[in-house]
Amino acid sequence: MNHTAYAATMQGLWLSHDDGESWARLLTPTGGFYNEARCWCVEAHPKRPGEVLVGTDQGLYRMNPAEGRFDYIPSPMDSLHILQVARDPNDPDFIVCGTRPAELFISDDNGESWVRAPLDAATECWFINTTRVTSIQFDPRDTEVIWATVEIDGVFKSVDRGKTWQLMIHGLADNDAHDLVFHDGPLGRDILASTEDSMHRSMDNAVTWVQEPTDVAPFVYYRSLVQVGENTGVVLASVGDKPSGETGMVLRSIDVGKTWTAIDLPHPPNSTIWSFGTNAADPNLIYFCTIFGQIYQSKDGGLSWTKKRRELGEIRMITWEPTE
Amino acid sequence: MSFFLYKPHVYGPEGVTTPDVIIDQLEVQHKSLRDMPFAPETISSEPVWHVREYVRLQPGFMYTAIGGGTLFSPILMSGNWRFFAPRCAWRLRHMKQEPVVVDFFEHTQEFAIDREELDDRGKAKIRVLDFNEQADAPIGASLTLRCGNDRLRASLGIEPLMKKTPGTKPRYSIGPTRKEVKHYNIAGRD
Repeated sequence: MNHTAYAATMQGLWLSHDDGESWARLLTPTGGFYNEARCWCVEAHPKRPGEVLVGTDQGLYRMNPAEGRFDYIPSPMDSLHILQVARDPNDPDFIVCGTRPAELFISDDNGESWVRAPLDAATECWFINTTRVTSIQFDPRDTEVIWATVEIDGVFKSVDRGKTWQLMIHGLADNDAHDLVFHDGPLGRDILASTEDSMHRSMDNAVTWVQEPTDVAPFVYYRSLVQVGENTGVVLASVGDKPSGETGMVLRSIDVGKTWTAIDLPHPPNSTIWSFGTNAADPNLIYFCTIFGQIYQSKDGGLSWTKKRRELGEIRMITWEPTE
Repeated sequence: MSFFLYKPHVYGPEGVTTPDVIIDQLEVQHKSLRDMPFAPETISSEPVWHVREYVRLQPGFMYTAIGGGTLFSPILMSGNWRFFAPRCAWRLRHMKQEPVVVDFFEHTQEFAIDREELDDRGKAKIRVLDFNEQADAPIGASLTLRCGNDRLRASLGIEPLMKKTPGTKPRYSIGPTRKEVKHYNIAGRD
């Protein structure tokens, strides 16, 4: 599938139009923002092709495909680090951004105006000093429900589109939560949560969690989670030795994390795998990046991977979207 | 010394450039002031202000001296001499030789609207509205400059400064070492 891949790095946003083989940044003079801006997140939306959102240390930006540049979106987040951005799958004008310090900012008018959500997350962490948002997801069953994870504070849930939030950490062995994945099956819902201390599972919609260590990986630092296709139960998990780490692994499950298989990689990762990049247009086409710049690609739903030649310094998020 | 770090997106014929500009000198021309210096920290690009009392906002133009050529941008000024400089600008020498049209909108609870046009560049006749003193909803103002098909906009939200109800915040979290952290005692402050 023809596609554009995007990598949010500590030296700007990089794009690839040739299946991840070569990568380039937009030029500083014409690209719309400083090409060495620190970029933590990039998000594509099927209803707004080409209009990816990018969170940086200098504000939020939207790709303007007609002009071939990014346009700045004024917001109260300019002086914060915008670490996560998500749009309602059904309503791309509804944007939720997560920052460092750990706050959520919400716009229901495509970025024209913003409100700071009453997340009420912890304001300080002994280990990372300042808490930060690690993931934002709209509930696949009901987009009125929004989920967020915060390092280091746990799992947050809103049932009213971000107006109020609940902290859902009962049973978490560690509140350093990184990512979530949801599966609704005939026997009910499973939610997996990756944390710095193993995987966790909830079978009661996050009211309680149970730690699920696995001996498939010698590490416990679970980072990114993604489901291969919609509600398939096929899940990929990244696990590394530590943040940022010196190595990492991809685990694959076909039963929502009940059992895991370590996937052979053609080249050892140089650090923890930080992000999986997927798009519903082709669930089998998946990218992942290590935090220290390696890029891998799978075209069979994560069973096998190729490592791309190009490496990009420090990458925080990778994604892709189809193109003509 | 103090300065304001201005980060405008400068829209020009070849795209948009994003210089970071240290503004260390600010002078204001106003009907009540002439060449009046102000401290640079009175400028802000924060798009929402919290104020203790409702403030009047006036539209204006900002000229910024910078190496590649003077920048021209909209600006909103409050009655107590605070300045909102949005992160957008044109370079003066790149501006089309067309009149600059000014739209000034004031957002109150009733969203009152005012509108005037420039009859000549730089000679605006802009009526300033009083904010609705009874308004309890967020209010603000926006100033849009149009030159040909190009547009710059300064949009500022004004919210009343509310006294926060003390809660249990702030909380601390504990990192991977599980080291005990003494929680901040917001109630006792002992």
